[in-house]
Amino acid sequence: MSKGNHIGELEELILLLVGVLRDEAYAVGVLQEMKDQTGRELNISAVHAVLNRLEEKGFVTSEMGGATQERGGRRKRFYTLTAAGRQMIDQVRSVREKLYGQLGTNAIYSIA
Amino acid sequence: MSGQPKHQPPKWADRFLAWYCRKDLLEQIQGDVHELYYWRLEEKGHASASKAFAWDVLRLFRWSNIKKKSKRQKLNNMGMFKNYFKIGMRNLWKQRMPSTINILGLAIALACSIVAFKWIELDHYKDYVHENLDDLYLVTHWEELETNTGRNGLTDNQLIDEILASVPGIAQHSKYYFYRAGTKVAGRESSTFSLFVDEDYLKMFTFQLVAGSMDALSQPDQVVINEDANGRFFGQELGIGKTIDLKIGDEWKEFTVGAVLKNRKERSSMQNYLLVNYQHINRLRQEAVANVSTNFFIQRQPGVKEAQLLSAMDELLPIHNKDNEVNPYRNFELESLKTMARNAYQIGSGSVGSAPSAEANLILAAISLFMVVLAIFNYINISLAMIMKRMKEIGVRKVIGSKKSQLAAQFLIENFLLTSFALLLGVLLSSSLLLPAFNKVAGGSLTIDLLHHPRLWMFLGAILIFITLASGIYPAIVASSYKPTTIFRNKVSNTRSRTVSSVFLTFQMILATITIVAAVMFVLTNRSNRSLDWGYNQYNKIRVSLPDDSFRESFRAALESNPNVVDLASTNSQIGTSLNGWQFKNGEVKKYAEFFDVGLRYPDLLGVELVAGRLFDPSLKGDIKNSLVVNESFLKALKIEFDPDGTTVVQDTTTYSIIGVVKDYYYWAPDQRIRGAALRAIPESECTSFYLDMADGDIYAQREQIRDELNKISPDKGFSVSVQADLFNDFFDEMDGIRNVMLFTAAIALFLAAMGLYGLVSINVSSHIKNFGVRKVLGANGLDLAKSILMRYRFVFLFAVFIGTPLAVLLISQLLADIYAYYPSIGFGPLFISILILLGVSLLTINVQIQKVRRINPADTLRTE
Repeated sequence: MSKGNHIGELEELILLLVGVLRDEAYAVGVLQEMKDQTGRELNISAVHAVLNRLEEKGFVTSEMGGATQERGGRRKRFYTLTAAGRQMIDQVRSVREKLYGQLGTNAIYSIA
Repeated sequence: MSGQPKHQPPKWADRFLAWYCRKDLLEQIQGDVHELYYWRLEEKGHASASKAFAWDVLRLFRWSNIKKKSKRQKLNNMGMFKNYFKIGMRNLWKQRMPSTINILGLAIALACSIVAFKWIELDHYKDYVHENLDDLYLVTHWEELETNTGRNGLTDNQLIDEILASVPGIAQHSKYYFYRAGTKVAGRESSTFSLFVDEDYLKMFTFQLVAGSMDALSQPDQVVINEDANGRFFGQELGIGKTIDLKIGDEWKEFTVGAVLKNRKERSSMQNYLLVNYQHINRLRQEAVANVSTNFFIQRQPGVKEAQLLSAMDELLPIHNKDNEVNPYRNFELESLKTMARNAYQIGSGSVGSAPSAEANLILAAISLFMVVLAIFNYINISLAMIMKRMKEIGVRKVIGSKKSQLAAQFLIENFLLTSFALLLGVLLSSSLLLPAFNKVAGGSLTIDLLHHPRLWMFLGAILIFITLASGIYPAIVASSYKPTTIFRNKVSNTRSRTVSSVFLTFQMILATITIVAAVMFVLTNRSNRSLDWGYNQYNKIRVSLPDDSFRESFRAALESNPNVVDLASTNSQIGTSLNGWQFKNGEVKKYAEFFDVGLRYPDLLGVELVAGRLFDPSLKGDIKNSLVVNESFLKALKIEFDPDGTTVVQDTTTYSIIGVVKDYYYWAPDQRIRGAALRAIPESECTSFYLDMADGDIYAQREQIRDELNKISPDKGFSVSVQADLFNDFFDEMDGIRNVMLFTAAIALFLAAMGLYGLVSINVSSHIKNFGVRKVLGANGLDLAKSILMRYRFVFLFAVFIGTPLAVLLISQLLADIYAYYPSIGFGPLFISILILLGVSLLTINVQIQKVRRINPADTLRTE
């Protein structure tokens, strides 16, 4: 398997958020959604880095969108999930579920 | 939302982001951080949002986001610069009048500084042409004098022999001794200052041959001459192999010319004219009783330290001093050839070369700096005015997207072009006009040789960059910082640049005032010095020196029988030709004063004005060697009250009685203050010259006639016949040289200031041309228009006069006091003349523009819109 087929945990989350946010998926949106949904506070630089990486790997594409007043008339870059991205999410999910299934109810875990 | 938001993210961080961020990412990233900022602003307030914003910007400063220069961009830059040059050339051509003023002004300033550079450089690097420079030394020593220790550049011949025998580490050496030898070439007899040197001389120092061999001096019967001497002795022909007879001592000897040296272009301390082997002086030395001392140069062997040489030389001194108790050597000191000329003043007797005059260099440097500053101010002023005409261009370029730095670069490049032209013109100007004129005044032989003069190139490069930046940066910044909106709304305010212009113009006018006052003062001082009362009657007087004692009676007889000679007195010292300072004592009071030995009748014939007592009495033999006739300053300095019945003063161990007091007289040119002077009578047998009172008539014809007559008596031996009134002519000529430099400086300064004024006024007029048109239509006459132009510059002139004149008085009196002992005080008259000149030229300059305004037809100027 090539490296491109692996994604890290943060990448997975952001990829998911891009999918969830649909038309509103741009860096600040992702950042805010991340905070709202998972409580994780990221910095914008990290978000940019991850989005760029995902785009390089072909899981998202991007294009410039419209301008808003808060941004001083600057346009946003919107990201959309690609088929490969969607496939990746599915694949990660199936691996997780498969492994989760094997965990069963009688798994041993430490109380501490 | 409408209008400007109340809070904004920190500007510096935003700018930083814009500066480093890649163009293609900037919009997105900047948008994101701004959006985050406003989001946080609502949530956490301004301070915290700002901090977070800054942090974000810093975090985003990553490799992937940072701008990188691509090769293609650089190529584009080249094209851009090429374009700037093209536009620059077009602008220079379009603005011909201001460009010409600028180029001319800068060129004159540059020409001045090139001359100053050449002069100072030659002074500074005197003697640097010698290849062995680092190893060459003049041997000097310190000796105990009566009152202190002094440094002497002459070394005893015997000591030289001992040094050469026992001091290791000397590679080559040469004595260096001037002797006036009789010369006879092809039957023509004259005398020549000949330089006696050892055979290493031509090898240790670097000289260039025209013909012959550098070994010529190893043959004792050969001499070496330079091109000048060759011209004098042999004319156009090369003198190699020809004979020159030299009279050394009492003996004539035949020499052949073994080599001809090139004249040195650079200034050098080594005066090669006629070089003779030192052996011949040695022979003279053996015959003479006195032990001759001579300059002595050594070249150390590589690696030998100065200290080693010195300690070995000093070891010889105890023995030497035992035999020579009169002037014992304390210790030796080696003077490197590099510093020899500069330190010549430290060496009491026997210095080689002379120190460059620091004062002259300083004045030259100051003058050229003056000029450069004036020209730069001119440039800045005119540029600032020109920019007002180019506002639209700046606005359009800014709207299209030119950055401030690009606009500034364009203005600087235009400036660079202009300065380059000025430099070219300046080099031409200095080489063809200024340097020859300067050579005439200062007696130099400076030329510009661009091909073989790397130091000049360095200087020109440096000054080009300096002037480009000094004159260009301010206008470039001003031009590039106008906002397009203000330009197109016609709301540009030029108050600031107008203030700057006025300040500069004022400064120029002040400088001009100072130089004009200087010129006026030097003219006046020279005039008053030339018409100075010398304290005695110098007219119709001739000095005659004897060839030697044996001619005294025959000369006297010849002179007494000359019908033109009214009276004559014999003397030893001739007043005005030499100084002779000695210490006199009156009890505890000790003062140096001049001490002249004169014949009994000399003071009377000289015509000094007696104040008290009497002059020498020729019938009283008792006056001889015992009595003094002193001037008033002598009494004042030594605090003596004159008493006709007996006043005494002590010199050395002799007590003299003062028999008469005369008014102060100029025994030296007026660059020295008159101090005490005492005349002592000596017997006729000790006199070496005559002082003649001549009948009225052409003194120069009389001089020639006397010379011819005496020549018959002494055809071989030299004597001199001189006119007393010509005594200070050299001094006056030198002072005239300084005066001419001052006049030139003033003229240039005034010219530059006037050009600056002309440029400003003409730009001012052309930018207000409609204004003038309207005024004319409304009935303004020429005088009204002139008044409105003049009023604009009234403060400039007021400041120039009220700051310039006190400053000038302060500076110029300092300068005058440095150069002259006596000068007229800078009174109201000279200042008034100076101000009149300044205002006159300024008015003339402005008048040219006023006439232009007067002539314009208002219809033409008002029709355009």
